[in-house]
Amino acid sequence: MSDSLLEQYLLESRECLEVADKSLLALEREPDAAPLIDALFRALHTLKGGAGLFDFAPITQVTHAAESALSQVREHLSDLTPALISVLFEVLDSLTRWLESIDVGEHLDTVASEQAGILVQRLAPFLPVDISSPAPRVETDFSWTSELPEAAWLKPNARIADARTALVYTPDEGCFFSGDDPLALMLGLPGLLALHLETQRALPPLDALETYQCYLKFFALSDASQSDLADYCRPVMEQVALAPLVAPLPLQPLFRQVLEAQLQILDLPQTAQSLSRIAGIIQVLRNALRFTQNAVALTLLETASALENSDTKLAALRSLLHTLINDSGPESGLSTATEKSGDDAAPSTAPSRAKSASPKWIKVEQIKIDQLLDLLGELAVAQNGLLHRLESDDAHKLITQVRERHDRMQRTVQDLQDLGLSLRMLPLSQVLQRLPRLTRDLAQQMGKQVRIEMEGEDAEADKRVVENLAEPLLHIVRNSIGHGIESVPERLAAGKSAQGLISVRAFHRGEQVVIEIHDDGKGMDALAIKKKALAQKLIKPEIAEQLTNEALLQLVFLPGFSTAEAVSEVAGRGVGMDVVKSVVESVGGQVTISSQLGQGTTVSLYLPVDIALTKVMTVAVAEQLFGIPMAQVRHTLRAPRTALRRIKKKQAFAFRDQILPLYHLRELLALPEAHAPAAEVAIVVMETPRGQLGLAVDAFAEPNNVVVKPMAGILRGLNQYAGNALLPDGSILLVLDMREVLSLAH
Amino acid sequence: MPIDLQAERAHLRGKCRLEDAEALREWLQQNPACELDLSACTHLHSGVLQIILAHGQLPIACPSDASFARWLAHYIESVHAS
Repeated sequence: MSDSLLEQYLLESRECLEVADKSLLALEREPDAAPLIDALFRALHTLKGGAGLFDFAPITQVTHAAESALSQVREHLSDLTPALISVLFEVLDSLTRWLESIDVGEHLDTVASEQAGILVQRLAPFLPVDISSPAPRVETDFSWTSELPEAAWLKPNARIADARTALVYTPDEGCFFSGDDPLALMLGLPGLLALHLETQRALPPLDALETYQCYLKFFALSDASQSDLADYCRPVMEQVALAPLVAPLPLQPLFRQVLEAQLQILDLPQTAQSLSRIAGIIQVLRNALRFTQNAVALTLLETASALENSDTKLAALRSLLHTLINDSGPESGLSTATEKSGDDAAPSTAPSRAKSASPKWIKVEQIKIDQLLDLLGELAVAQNGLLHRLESDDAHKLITQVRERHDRMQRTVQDLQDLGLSLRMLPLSQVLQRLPRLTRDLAQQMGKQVRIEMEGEDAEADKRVVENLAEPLLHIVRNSIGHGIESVPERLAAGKSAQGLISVRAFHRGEQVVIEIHDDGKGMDALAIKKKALAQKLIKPEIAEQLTNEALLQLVFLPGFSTAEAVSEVAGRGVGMDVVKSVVESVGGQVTISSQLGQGTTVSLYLPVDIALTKVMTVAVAEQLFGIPMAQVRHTLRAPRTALRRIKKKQAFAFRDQILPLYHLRELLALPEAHAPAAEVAIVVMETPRGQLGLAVDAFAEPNNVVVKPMAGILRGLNQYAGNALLPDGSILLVLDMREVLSLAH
Repeated sequence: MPIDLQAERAHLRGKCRLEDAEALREWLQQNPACELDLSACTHLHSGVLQIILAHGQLPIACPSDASFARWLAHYIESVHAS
């Protein structure tokens, strides 16, 4: 099967899953909406059809069962109950995971087959009784597996723990006429461990026995996967029922994969992000161990995470991970997850969807391709015209004509550049549309009532910005539901409505796109945050005293702060805010938090619309040019030197009825002093997470759109520079990383 | 022929097929006290197995595969008793 066909299928599948997810969410509120049921049905049907082409058996099996269950609903033979909706959400989550695995070149392994078996089993109660299905029937009664006589074990020393799949084979009475030999079929079963025999009805005495009628019924245990057995039994599939032996069994390989991934992360070279990485690992482990109900390991983990010395902490975590990985065999306590915890796991799958691999494709409107070709055509005409003009003898005329052509080409190139950038633009809905589902799952999991409202999903930003938003948004919404929005009794006691509200608003502001996530929960306690930050020695007492409440709230973005769970309980904010900050900053954005105790919290993300081109303000200091990202520049002004004030040891100036602190870029970058200070100071008023401030420079130059390239070679170590860019006259512009530069001031 | 029916003992050898089932059934009906020797038997068709189960008497010699021999002996007893 060709790769392009597969890519087409994956692209189409992703769309189908989005439609299905959206429809199912809406159906939860309106379970009778026929158009939504139809849309969901169609999406599943399309997924099934494609999967058949590539022989993705688990996908075919699950979509077929889900489709059958929905058919019952469509034909009014059953209702779309919350239980069915919940299973269908699990189906969509698994399909998403499988398609992502296929997308990164992995095969759907036996784990997928077993998961498919579990899902089909969960769907079984919603299926028509006599479903003529190519998929195997599902056996739900396993009591016989625990009552097997010793003699049934055909494989020496095999035990029930070795079995992965159970099979019940009830041959047709007339199967001998079709040439079947059920016993031969069973004895040849892949991975056969035990075979139990019963009769379908009491065996008559010899003289009454019908020689050509089959009276037998077989029960088998195998260590092969369900899909392998399904393949083997295909000719008699309608007489066979198959099921994975215990539902949570497939967790073991998954659990091991999670642990191994953490170990790999732990072994990465240490960088500035190490601290937040370790915090992430601890959180993942905590969730995994809670999920597998491993209390001993959980205690070890908490002990390790409380260690202050980072080397000791790393060593403790590494040792714990090694122990867990070696211990996660079938007999360890790690695999004892119950059916109940399997249910609990459902919401945790949504976050994994949010982190889905970034699509390699961008959908482009036809009209943009046409525009691109038009512009390229214009450019070609202009180029030919230039050649034609060169034949002229009149030098003066030639210069005029070349200049005219140059102007025309410049416009075309500008249009081309704009178009190129617009091709990379994606609507924010790509990531925002996942939030309703996430909200639903988390609220359900935490026993809270939460609804989400969204506005401005059509706002666009560069592909890389949009794709990087999934994780920060996930953390923010999770914190809002987990720590912001109160439980129903708490809300009622506070005079609020029982249902909490998260409102997400996206809008363009200048060169930025802003996303505000507001919850009407209990808000954050700035004083509690201060107290904890001091207790953890994350901030010096003298600095803490100077910080406003607004500034104190920003402390939750410190890595050390957000890993302390006790703090989150007090301050009403959970872990992961440092992750939010680092991801947002990695795409050139900023994040701030504001809150009113008792009223709620708002997290605001300020993101660049496009990151291929950065608009920079060019300033001169000590006869050198520097670029300051325009997104942070609010205003420029010239003030007489006499207007500057001195407050304690710091300089300040008046700007629109405010007194703002003033920093000199010359001092911050340790550049030589000017011989004769000018009478006027050029000031760039900047927006920073700590509020507005002024940056004194020698002179302003033109703003420019530049492509910022990272610093290379030994210059890479200079943190105060975000990168360098080529100016139109060929000179090099050093672009400042204002966060680093200003940290020199603090 | 895989089933060799002698006066008081039936030898089942190699692979016993469905075609052999009817002959075995008639012979067992006529000789209810006879002995079955499966020591050289490598496979029993389900149809043949049913007849042995219905007859309910343990063979004097079981197939050489120990696990299968034990299996067969257990189910002849348990199925017949049920």
